Amino acid sequence: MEEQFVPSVLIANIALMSMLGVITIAIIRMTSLFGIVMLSGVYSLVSAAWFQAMDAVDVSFTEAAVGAGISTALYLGAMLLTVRKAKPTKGILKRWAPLLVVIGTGSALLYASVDLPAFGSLDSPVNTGVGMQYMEVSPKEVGTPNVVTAVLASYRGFDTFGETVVVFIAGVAVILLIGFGERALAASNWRGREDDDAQGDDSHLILRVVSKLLIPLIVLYAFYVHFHGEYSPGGGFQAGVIFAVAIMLYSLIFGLKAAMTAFPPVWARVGAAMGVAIYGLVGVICMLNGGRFLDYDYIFGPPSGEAHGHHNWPQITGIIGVEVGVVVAVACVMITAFYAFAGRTPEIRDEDW
Amino acid sequence: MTMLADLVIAPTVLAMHAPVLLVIAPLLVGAATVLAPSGRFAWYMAVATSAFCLWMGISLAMEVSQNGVVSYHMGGWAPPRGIEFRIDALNSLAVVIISFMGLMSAIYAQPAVEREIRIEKRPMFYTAYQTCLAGLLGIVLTGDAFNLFVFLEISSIATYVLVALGAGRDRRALTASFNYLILGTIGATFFVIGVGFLYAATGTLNMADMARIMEADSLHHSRVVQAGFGFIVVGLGLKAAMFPLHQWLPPAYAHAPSFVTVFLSSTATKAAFYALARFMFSVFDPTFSFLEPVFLYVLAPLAAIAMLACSFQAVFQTDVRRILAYSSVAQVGYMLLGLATGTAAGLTAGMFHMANHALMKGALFMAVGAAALNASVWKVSHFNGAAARAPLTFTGLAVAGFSLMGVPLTAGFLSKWKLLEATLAEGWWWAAVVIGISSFLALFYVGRIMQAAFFAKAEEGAPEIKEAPFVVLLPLWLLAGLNIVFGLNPSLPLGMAEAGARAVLGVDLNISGGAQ
Amino acid sequence: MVDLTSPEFWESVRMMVAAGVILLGALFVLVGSVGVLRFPDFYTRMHAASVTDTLGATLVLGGMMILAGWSINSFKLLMTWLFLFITSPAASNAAAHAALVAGLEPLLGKWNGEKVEKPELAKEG
Repeated sequence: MEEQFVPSVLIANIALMSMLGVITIAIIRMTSLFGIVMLSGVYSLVSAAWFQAMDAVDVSFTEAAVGAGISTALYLGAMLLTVRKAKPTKGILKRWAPLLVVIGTGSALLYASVDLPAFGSLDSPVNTGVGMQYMEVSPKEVGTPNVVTAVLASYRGFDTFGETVVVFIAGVAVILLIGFGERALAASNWRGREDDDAQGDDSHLILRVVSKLLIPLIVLYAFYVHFHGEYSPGGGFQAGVIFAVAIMLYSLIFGLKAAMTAFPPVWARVGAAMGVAIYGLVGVICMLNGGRFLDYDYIFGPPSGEAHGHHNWPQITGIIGVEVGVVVAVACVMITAFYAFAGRTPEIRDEDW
Repeated sequence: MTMLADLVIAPTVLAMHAPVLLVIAPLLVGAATVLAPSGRFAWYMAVATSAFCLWMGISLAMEVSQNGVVSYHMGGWAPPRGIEFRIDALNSLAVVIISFMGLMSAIYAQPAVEREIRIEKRPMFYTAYQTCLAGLLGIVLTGDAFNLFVFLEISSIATYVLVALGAGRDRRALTASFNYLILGTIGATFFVIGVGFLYAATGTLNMADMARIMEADSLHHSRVVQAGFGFIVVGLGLKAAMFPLHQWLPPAYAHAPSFVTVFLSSTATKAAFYALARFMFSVFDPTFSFLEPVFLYVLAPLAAIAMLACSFQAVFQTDVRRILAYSSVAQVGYMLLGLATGTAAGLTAGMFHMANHALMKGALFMAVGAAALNASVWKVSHFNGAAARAPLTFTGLAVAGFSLMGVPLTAGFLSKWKLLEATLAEGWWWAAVVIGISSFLALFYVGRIMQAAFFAKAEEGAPEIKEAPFVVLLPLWLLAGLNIVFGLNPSLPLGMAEAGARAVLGVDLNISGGAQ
Repeated sequence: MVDLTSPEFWESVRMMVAAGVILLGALFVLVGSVGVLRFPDFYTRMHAASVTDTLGATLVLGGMMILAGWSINSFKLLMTWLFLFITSPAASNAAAHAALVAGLEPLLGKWNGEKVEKPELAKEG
């Protein structure tokens, strides 16, 4: 088969990848943690652009929302609890063990790359194997215009369930180790918050107005990303992150206390578990109706067997259902993590453990 | 016997979904445990889920032993498009071990958790435990390489937090957990790179499908497949504490809450070891031309070094849990030595030793944790004269300790014997020497603990060790008893291990000798 | 001669206009980047950066809207522009405000070609 070779894509790939390389080296050589956090955000944004250049729009969207967006914010929150500068490290030759590991890994990758199929080759196993099957049969079997959604939420929906659990257990980890965030509510005068109130509204007037304008739009956009995920890039993970960003913005501008009044930490905690439960229960409903776990064809009962029209409603209902679980879990875990970091006093007292 | 079977086999509707119920029951109940009103209630939930998992696991294993392979298609999608849970004789053994050890350690948990974990953290602690259990069961159940990665992540993240919660008693748990997190993440990344390579070479993620395509297209000449094997073995080896990737294990076991140490030592490395065996023997084929030198010149020497070096390190530790932790790394060496032979006999010995090691190390860590219930005793010298004060606890410890040394009439002896047979069949006389020296070292390090407990005199002002409560003694004695039972009649675990090797390698072997 | 009534002609004009507008926007982005590198202190650099945000982004997005024509994509680009138009000045304002609150004083004085001659010593921190 003829190779599909598009020079502009290749140039974009090379340019973006070399930018990634430069950023990586800059991150390694830096000691300012603030700079490192910012650069890792830049790294994610550049890789999002790179994924975009390779037509992986869903991946790109996720990388932009999660990598460049919320994880940078969470890193900053975590950095506030620690120092701003890393300790100077030893010279590269003194750290011979990690150097050896890196060299070994790199040479293994190079060794393998000789036999990898050419970039974009049409007859590579990936493009002729199961990937092609998805493209061919998913419109008939699942019926969502976005094949990525069909793969993620239906064919490999069990993996996505696992990923939701990963997010959930990460939230549990944050709560167990950093705290519940309620402490900040009790000590809400921490870090001069009362001073802010005393200064009156004019100090953040512009931000207040702008964020009041934006927050509803952000939430609306989150729901759009979620419910439109079967037609366009996007889905539960991105929507959940965007929703959490709205709460975080509110908290940054109006104070943690106000945010915790609007969205109490206990909601976030319970919501994270609810999200997993919603996802799992969609699967259990399918089981109760006689199908396998997450077999959406059984979601309204055993399939009637008659041909469905343009819309395959059982599949679409199942996909939307599990995505609701993902949104709830992801948003609540992100908010929990933010509350836990923001609500933590800078010093860690021994009796808190 | 039939009555017992009736009791054990689940109703059809449950049995039909047993593979997935093993995973989603702990996950969903675990999520619900977040809302548990008290730590004790959360404990009831955790014990109930673990018991349910054991029931499902045994029922599944019985179905496998009757029907061969059980395949469960997630979402009703047939592989390779969908994700498959594929249970043959090899994983049914791992499922039974993990769910059984899960139940034992869950029963054991309550007093230790009450002592070590702060009250408002207990419900979520049990959530983390159940999620970890689900992740480990998922690793051993799944037939899909990427799905295995997802479950590896679930169990790993849960493990990091479980270990870190030892900070309530010992702040070093935080650094131990952090080191484990960094190394574990590297391991997971290596694993996923390896799976990516295999996907690039075969175009599928289903493990059985991968094996079929690699065999059919004789892909073992492809460098992609070879590098993929390397990455997968390093990644899983890190999780299984394969020497020299074991650095995370001793601190993590030594500083984690004692219930967590019991649970992890008897399940987590076992799940990773199973995955290693699955990839080496089932996805790849030990007869692949590039694998023979790898087995002989890389894996076998590493296993031997682990058996010697880590046993030697164990001798010089003062912290009891570190002794046992280094011993665990050495025991992983025994199991790997079995795999490194690349034969059915070696795989059988490895899996058999894996089962026995779960039993003995679980019991040993239980006894050590039980001794520390009333006083913080972790040094060998703290145990002086403890057997007189807590005879039941320390008799349990002694039984499991004999099994670890490999004293005849215990399960540990038999699995070492099987290993010896398997290596000598390959003509590896040096392996016999290594097994001998390593067992001799085990005599020292286990003997030190026992000598202190049974023969030394308690020092003045030493911490007071009391007899453990019933919920601790029950699982401890069950495990210790099983070490004896399987030492006298190993037909159950050995038969399952043999069936597993047969299922994976497709050969009919009769190596069990007089054990039948 | 050029046929002024042919759709092809207007199509190519549209392309050229779009390209010109986008290039102009790119020029402003470049100017802004140079400014960020060359200006002496935080506040002047922010001024340069905001050129990228406002004029640069507006022109690039405007050019893309001309390219996309009367379609849903143009509307999405318009929304993107509106979002940038609201957020980036607010973000610049927040950053400058934060710097001022944190005690970073603007570099004041006269530029003599090499450095700023300070009427009084303005220290950072």
